Amino acid sequence: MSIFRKINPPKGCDLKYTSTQIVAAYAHPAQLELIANQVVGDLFLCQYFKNQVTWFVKNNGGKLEDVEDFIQESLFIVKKNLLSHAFKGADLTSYTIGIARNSWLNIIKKKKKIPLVDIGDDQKAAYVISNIKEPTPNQEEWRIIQEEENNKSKYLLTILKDCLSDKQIKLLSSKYIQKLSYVEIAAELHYKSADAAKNAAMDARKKIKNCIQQNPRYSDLLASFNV
Amino acid sequence: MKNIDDIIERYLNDGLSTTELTEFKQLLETDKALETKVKQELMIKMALEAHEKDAFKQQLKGLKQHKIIPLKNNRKRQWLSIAAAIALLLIPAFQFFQHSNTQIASQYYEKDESIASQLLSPDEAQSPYNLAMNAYRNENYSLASEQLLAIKNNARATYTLGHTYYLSKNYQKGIEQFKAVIKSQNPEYLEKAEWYLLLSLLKMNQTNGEFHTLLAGIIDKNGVYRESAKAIQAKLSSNWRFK
Repeated sequence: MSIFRKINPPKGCDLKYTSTQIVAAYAHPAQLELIANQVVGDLFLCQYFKNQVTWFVKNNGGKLEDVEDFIQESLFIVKKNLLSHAFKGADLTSYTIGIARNSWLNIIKKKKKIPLVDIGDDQKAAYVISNIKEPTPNQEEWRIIQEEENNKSKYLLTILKDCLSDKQIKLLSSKYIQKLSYVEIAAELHYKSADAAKNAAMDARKKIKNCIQQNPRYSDLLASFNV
Repeated sequence: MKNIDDIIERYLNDGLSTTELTEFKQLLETDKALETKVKQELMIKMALEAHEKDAFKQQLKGLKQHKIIPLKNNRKRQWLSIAAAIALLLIPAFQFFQHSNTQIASQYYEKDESIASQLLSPDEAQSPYNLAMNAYRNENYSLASEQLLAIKNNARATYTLGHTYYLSKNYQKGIEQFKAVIKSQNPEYLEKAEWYLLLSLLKMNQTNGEFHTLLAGIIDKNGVYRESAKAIQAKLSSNWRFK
């Protein structure tokens, strides 16, 4: 019988790294980013993951066009969790689907005040989703939420690019988002020493704060933040 | 509260204890200056996150989705398919290990932004140097080169010219400029010029004796580029690569 005769849809994802290998890589920071990129790349190409998320989003107030962007958002969280060692070694596909479900609930919650569940708790998320009593946003409401989020992101990116050089953006990202040490940053961005990198980061922070303060265009956005 | 910056950072990262959180929220309600400071920090954090997310999405867009092509039940085609599948599986493996000289150079080359911020005084706004730096910053490298060529005997201008040539893919001319900077022995640009000369030579596949002497010199100097130079050396000695 030919192996090509019948192709069943895959039930899982073809991942090059197992959960155990990923957790083991936490001890090797130099390899972790490479592995995290490979993992999210594999998940991005995984049809099973896409089908699950598509089904879920479509059945909870979203549109097909939203799915691609939403998958990318979810994978961004997964990558962050891998880099910060927050992933503790569960089945990676289920974990990622759980992240996607929780993220979607967070979005809905912003509009409809649905109780939140902990990120990563797949079973709990699935339970809450199947028991949602409140209506999810309609298509128009969803479009407005998405548009607001996109505009805000674009505006924030503009501020960064207006106020800082590419190298300064890279420097602050390395420190505050990727949480690298100043020693690692100095090696990566060619600063003479960790102290030099630290001083440059402080200068960049001062620069962007002054830029925000001095530019009236940014005051409205600043006022819109809730702290 | 001891270190307010540390507390704000922990507040934004959900790292405060319940007591600290209550205390901090009370303070936020009464202290408008603190509220503004926290909002600014939040805005910077969100802007950096938006930047990371944007870069991440661009990276994902680069990945192509696999297409499933239905096959007829034909034995010859089946073997061809298996061979093709093996080849497809091997390609990423080879790509993973492959580092061509030109790829390595691109990986390590970084546009020197610091030179573009060193403008002359406002009354010299129309000087060739300022015009060149503005053009360099705006990625108009042909204009930048034109202006820089008008400046004679200036290591900074020659060094910048090396970059403008590199960035406009005129690597050989870039090599000449970086060599001229090294010849001038200007201490401010010497180390940088050596590093960028190395990358330019790599880009041109000129990995001869001169290249290796330069590489060894950068490693021996124990300067800013030592670790990167060592990494390049390691990549060049890897067996899993195409020249």
